[in-house]
Amino acid sequence: MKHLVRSREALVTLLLVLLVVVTGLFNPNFFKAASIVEIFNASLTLVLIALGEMFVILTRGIDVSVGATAGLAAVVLGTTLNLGWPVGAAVLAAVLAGTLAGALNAFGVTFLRVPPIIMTLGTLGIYRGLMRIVTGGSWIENLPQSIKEPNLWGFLGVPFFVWATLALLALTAFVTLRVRLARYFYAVGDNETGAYLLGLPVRWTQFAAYTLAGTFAAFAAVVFTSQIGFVSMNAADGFELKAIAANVLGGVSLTGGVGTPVGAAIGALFLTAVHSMLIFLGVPGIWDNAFAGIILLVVVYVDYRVRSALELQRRQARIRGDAGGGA
Amino acid sequence: MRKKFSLVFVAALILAAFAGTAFAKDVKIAFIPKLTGVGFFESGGKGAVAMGNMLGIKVKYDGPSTASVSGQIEYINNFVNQGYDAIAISALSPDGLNQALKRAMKKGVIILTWDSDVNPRYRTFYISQGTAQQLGELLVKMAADQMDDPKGSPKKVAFHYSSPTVTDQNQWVVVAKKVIAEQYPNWEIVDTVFSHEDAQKAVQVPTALFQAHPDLDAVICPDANALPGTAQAAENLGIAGKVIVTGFSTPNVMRPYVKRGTVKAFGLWDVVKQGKLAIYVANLLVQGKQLHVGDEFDVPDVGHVKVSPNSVQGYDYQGEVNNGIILLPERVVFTIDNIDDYDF
Repeated sequence: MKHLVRSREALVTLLLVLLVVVTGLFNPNFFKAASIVEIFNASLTLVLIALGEMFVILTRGIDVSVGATAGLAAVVLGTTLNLGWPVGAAVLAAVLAGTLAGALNAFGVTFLRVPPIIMTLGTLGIYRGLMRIVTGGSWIENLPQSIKEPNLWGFLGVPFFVWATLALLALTAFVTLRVRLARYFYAVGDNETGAYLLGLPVRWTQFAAYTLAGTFAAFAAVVFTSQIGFVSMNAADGFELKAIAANVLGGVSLTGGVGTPVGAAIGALFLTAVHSMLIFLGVPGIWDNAFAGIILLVVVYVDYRVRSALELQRRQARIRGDAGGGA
Repeated sequence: MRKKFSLVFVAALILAAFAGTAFAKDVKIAFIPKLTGVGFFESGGKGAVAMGNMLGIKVKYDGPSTASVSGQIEYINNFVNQGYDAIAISALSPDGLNQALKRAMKKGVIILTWDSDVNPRYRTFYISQGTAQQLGELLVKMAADQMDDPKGSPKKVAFHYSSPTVTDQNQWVVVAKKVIAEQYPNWEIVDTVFSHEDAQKAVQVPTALFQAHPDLDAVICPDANALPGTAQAAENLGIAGKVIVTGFSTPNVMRPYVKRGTVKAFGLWDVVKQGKLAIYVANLLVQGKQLHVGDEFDVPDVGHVKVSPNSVQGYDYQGEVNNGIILLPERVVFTIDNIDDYDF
């Protein structure tokens, strides 16, 4: 039980379940499977971007260009599709573009030693600018139906993209827990100098983190484009901040070395679900953003109090223990 | 020596005067959008440039790449410093541009607004897509026309647009709600939701809306993201065609939804014509023409227009000459029959 309360993921999940129950009691339509599935469906873009961001935050970095990277990948996807490329090739091009965009961040941060916030703030501008240059500034419209179809596929009433994202999440969770190379992200973020002295490839670990952030942003772009069917110039605008918030909410520490993929995903799910729930609760739309902000603060604050209370308890127990031992 | 100097001085003055008149014939007009990169504004820009070519004057379409008031101020100042004769702008803020516009007018630059207005003291004419009354009524009419018995059985409708701080969309919805209360008391407005120009949210929000109110009859979406987003949500949930989705957006975005029957009718105005009209009027004013409220004239490619007083948009201020509102002659309802006639 104590272990459960101690992990942020559990606390956020608990709060999410609580919100679901309250919303469902208020508006029984919410309990219909379709509503829950649609919330999963709507959160996929943010879940994927947040997962990529998690690698960077684990290494004690920050990437504020992930939204722009997703936008750029969506533009590559849309443009190649409208040029008549088959869906598979276009998706590959988009993923490649996102990965390259991530690799550019990685190069700047690890080899040119530009501070991450500056580097990615710069590329945020560059990638958003590139979107306009590629498209001449117009929305990408009239995408072929073939890109929208995967969004309509499903199994057991759950859309294909939800399954795919869950599979990717499970894979990421397994790898970060069990694969030695992936543990480097934690080691580097926890203590960069220590990791270096142990002989870990610190720079290449950071390089991989930023590159993965780009790849995941491109995955998000594919889902985004399939679900929405057009690419506007402000596609995924502001998602970098939402992704960071999702990570913090899900227990990924901004000081590096702490956090899990499941936590980041739950944080993203929570941040997205709030907007849908407020509609089921009949809260006027004007309140939407304010409510989302309040809930974020409440969760982080409650989590902080619970943790410090537990920490205090632990210390007191230790002091008592020590005193007993000495007597 | 002194005489010689004054002679040279006079000669220089005469030269300058000549240069001045020669320069004045080269009319330069700037056409500023809220932001570049949005199909709607790009199309307005195309119309503006086309009218410039037709009139044989120079028209420059440019503006900030993100919706920022300070960005628009920079563009205004730049165009003024470059000696432009007139500026037509779609303002991001009703008051935030006042100082920049005042400075521009002091330097003799003619200011017009199009699409989105400023305080009428700081511009000559507002080239308007329609009054809030006209557009609000159009929103309700498009929904009602798709119902079998709009005044019969009880109906549930909802509104979905970008945000409560967008002046024009808000005004239309206020009028639409008033029209519903007066003419369709059997319509219940179950919710008004916002998606803040975020395409992902523009799909998520109406999805929840449809599920929270399974018996919804119509969603009215006067926003370029909200309308396709709502149509997409209806398609994802498999209720396309069973629920009325209407509002304002551009034909190119909506074409696939109209072709598939998800959206049967939606409206907008022809922004290409709006751009043309703005440049035509700006050029008239640069040529020294004086326009009064009530004046009527024909504009090539656009049609017959009339100068209306500022009061049609609810303003108190009214200048005597060269001040007022010029409305586009018509608004367009797009259906499967006419959508292919438009490309913007």
